[in-house]
Amino acid sequence: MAQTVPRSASSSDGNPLRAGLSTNRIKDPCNVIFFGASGDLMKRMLMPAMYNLRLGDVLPVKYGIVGFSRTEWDDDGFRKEMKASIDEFSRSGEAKDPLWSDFAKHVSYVSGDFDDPKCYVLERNDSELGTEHNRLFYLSTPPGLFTKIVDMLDEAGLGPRDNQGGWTRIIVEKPFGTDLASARALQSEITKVFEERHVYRIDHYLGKEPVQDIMALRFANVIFEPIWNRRYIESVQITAAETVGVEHRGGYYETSGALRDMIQNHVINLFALVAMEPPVSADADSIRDEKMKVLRALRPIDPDQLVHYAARGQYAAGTINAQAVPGYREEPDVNPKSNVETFAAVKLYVDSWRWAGVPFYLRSGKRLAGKLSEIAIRFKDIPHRLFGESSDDIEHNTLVMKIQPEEGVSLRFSAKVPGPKMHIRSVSMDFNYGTGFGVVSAPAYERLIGDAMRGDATLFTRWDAVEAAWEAVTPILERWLMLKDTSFPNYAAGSQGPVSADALFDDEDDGWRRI
Amino acid sequence: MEANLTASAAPAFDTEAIRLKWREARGGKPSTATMNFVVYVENERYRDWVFERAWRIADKHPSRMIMLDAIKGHHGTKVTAHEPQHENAPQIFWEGVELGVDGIRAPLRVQFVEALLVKDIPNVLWWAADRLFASETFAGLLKIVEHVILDSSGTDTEPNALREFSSFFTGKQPVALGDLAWMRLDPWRDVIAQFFDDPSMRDELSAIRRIAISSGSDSEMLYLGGWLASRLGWTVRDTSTFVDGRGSVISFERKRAGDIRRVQSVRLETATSAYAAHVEGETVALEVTGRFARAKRHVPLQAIDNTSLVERAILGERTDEIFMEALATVGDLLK
Repeated sequence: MAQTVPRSASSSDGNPLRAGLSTNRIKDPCNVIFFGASGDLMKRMLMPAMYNLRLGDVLPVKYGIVGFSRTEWDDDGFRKEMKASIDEFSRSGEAKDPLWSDFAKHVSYVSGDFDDPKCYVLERNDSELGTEHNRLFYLSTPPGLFTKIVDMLDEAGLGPRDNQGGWTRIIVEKPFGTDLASARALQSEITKVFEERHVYRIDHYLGKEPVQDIMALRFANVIFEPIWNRRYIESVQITAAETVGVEHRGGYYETSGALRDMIQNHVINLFALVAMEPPVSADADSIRDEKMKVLRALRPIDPDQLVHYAARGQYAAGTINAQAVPGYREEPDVNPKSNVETFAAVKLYVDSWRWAGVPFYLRSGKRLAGKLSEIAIRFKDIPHRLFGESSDDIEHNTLVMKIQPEEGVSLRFSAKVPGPKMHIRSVSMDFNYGTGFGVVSAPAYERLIGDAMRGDATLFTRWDAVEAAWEAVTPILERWLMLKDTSFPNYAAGSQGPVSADALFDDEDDGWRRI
Repeated sequence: MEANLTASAAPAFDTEAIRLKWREARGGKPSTATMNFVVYVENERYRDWVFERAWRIADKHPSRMIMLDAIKGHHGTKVTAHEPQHENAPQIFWEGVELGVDGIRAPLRVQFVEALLVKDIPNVLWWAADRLFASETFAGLLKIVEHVILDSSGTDTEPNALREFSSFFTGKQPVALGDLAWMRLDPWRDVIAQFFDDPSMRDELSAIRRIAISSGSDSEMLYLGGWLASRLGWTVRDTSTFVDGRGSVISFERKRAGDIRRVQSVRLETATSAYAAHVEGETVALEVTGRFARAKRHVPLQAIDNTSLVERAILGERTDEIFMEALATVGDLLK
């Protein structure tokens, strides 16, 4: 019998049986502690994400999940609630035994006030579940409690300074502050306990697969980067439109608004990915350095010229999907005379060689005509009209990166209409993720919690970028707070948004893409 | 929408006529193709099973589908055009043709296929036949495709199919290979690897003395044994024994049990511990007994459906060196 040649038993992981396996399992044992565990986010997103990480066998063998909130549950009560949430909201459907029972053994609950030191104890998990003092804290409470919780963690010796045996990280949900001053104050409090490398500011938009594909499209192809500049690009539009209203979040939204809730974080993050220079490597800080540089290069907006750079709106009653829906001021927990914007649009310029003179139009709103998130790159007009009259029909080339509801990329370009005449028409070349790769992307929270457990901060926002984003929007915020918009409500639910947003375009040939 | 235009019994095919019929079936609407998907069957038993899965893939990844049906007595053409049923898919047609090629010589079969291919897109062959490479059609198609997918498991001639496969492909081939039987084992390889992820357990790998695997068909067991041996530097002594670098003998026991293409259990034994994984309902139960005993835990049984496997084979890495090494060891086991 022939003998096989002995082969190398080495692999990058040290376990020779791991070579070639695409497993994504987290190696470090770890406790994940959720503050605000009775909240809606926990039920709809966070616990289903944890369970799906377990189903995908991504969680380490030794792990603990601790829920902490004021609601009076014991461990079993919490597990029961969480199972119901998973059954209702998880993409994998109902949680079944024996996997659920295995998982439930790792889940526990602390009922109490966030300022009660007795609640800040994790020794039991470390000893019983073998989580080796590795801790990931997740702040999904109202932002007003962030500072208190961070202080209490420090007092209880659960901060990174006192944790010599393992690592400590903290995920902070948005909003990170309500304006520049409050963000700085929050950062100052957090950094008394946590260093920047311990802090993971979550923006779930960055966990979406098509958002990550922006980097691949730009830097894994040779054809786009040479034209990704002022010589070829006329303007960029970034849209995050929703059909839903404020739903049960009226109270929160009254203190927030579209500019704070969407533009300052999600939309500006998308902008940074589109506008940044190529990073020197794919590591977290190289990418975040480049994002930071482009945010720093944003041209400050002159508050006196605000009407040319920013527009706001508030929805009135209207119709969406043939259903009558109320106006913002009629929503629960909303002031009937509210001046909070449910739509915000901003025009930004980047003062750099690459982007000088190219406007970036950013908009986000609720109760618009459709649910749509996309980035549209509009290229310049052709320099010479070769085909006489038929050239008049030539549209600008447009590259659209579609984030939701459809995920993909489309390129619009000109083609000849078949026939004896040289008639030109725009056609579209589409790439659809579902069709191209045949996979369903994991929800963003699964990706992001897994990354935080691994210590990969690439898809989290660094403080300097948060600060720069607040610097960009604060002049607008301040002016809007100072001057009420007497036209509110100024767009009907189900419409394209307020007409005032059209005034942002200098070029009459340009305008908002239809939602 | 599907348009079934003809079912003639012509001995050969007019490929231009097929193209015209596609156009007719689409009603002049546009068509698209992300790949040419050529499927070959010659066993009545698998035909519908294979075709049904192939159609599903083509619907998800709009394809130019060319189905070669070499079953005795199957002649004629069936030309179809489809609008994707997949949610969110653009409403652009994709096209397929079933060619009954019984009695048609291999070079002609290949010629027909070549004439129907959309240029400049990937060409994928799903070879679903017991006779693997002793076929002129296969040899001919191999020259025009970049991906070959087959399933060495659950055939009438198992494990001969795998023997033939390993002897054919151990040399350098210009095509990407995917054996669904191997791909099906990814979750099992992961489960076995898990036992030794902890660096303190690595020494146990060199102390393994017995492997016992049960499965409904041979390919899976052979692949798992070949994989372990190739990763751990063992050589093949005979069909049921390996030898490690220090001359220690490892026995390799295989038992047919359960459904075809499904692994039931894997057990690795060292002098002091046993590492066992077995199917328990919809999960795999993992247990370590002996010196390094660990509490039983369950992981989801990641059974991957065949359509997804074919899809992965098409979209996956072109060269899987781990697979090629395992295949070479399987070849040695079967010599």
